[in-house]
Amino acid sequence: MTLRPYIVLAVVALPVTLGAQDARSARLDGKLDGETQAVVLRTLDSARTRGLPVEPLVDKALEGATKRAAGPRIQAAVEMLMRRLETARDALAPNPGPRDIAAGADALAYGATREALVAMRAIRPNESIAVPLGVLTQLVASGVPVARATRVVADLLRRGARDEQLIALNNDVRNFVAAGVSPQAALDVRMRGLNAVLPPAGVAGAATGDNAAPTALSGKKP
Amino acid sequence: MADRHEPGPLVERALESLRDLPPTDSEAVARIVAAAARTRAQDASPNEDDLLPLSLAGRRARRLWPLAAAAAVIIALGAALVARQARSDRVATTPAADSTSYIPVSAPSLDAVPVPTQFVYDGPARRVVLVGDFNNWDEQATPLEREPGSALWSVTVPIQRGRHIYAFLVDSVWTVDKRAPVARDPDFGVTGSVILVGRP
Repeated sequence: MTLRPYIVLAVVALPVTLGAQDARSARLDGKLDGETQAVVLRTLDSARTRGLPVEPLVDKALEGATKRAAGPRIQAAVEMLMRRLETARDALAPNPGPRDIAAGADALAYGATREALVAMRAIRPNESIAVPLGVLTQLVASGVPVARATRVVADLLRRGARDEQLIALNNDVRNFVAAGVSPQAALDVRMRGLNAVLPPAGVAGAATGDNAAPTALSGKKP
Repeated sequence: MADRHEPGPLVERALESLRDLPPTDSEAVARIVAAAARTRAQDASPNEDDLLPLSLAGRRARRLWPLAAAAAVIIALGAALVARQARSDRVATTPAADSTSYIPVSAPSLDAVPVPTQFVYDGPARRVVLVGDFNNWDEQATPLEREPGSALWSVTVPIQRGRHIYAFLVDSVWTVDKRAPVARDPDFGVTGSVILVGRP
């Protein structure tokens, strides 16, 4: 039997398998210099090997390119993001979605702790926590201390706060801060408003059937 | 009024005759059972040629078996690689995790549905473009349209829920959204704007 059919099949099948990888790499073509692109692609391969989402890494490289950042800075930013993604992925285990992982990595960049991510996942084990993590990040960016912001968001999640309520809280705090109020005072006053409409943590859990395990943050007052 | 719905004796007899089942033909039943048993016995030991198209049956088909097997292996390998690639994009799991037991946290829910989100820039310009982590920072992808007779520019784009960083390019100049919070940027040192997207 001749080998020709096997060769033909291999030639046909190989591009199909490589196509998906090339599509993502192609997005970087023309955006980065050759050396930077090579380094970034190696980082993407490393991320794939570790089971991490590569989209945030591609986005980070493209962000650097759009901001006209130097190549070495882009390489370093992508590498650091991969490490944060890995930490976030592990903290949000067992099966976090890519948006949650990216949001966790952002929160880590702003000073949130790995334990905070673990605690929030424990409270909401079966839903995305991309928005709560984004609110945590923004509260910290507004000047609320990390530990306080973490306790507040975790407490609100435990009490069944919806994402929209968390976003409204963040927006209100930002507006107060812009008006000259201290971040902590702004958070205090808005929390009093939410305390009036949200049930206590135990009631919220019972009402929603939430049987989340207690966390390291449980029992602490915001 | 109710009497009009009562069936008469003639209708009752007709209904009774329709309810009766026809007599069973025991020989026909036996034939059907025997035929089913023969078919099952044949299915349990399929002929090699049964698995091939008729045109390929026989010696030629047997000669092509290795080729078909090789094709199947290559296609399976390709599918596995593509699936692995896709999974690493959609969902990340721990490297040691069993891929067959993977249950995405939010994939099938409404969480993944993009939310139409409006961006507005207010100011004189010849061209305004939106760039952000939701459009690959593409400087061509999302131009804003100017409201006729005003200096307001706007565009509405679908965005996944969560926190996003963006900016306007106003006549190619990086410009933050004055109405949004500022995102500091330790990576590149160029501040952007932040938007938190929730359910509409």
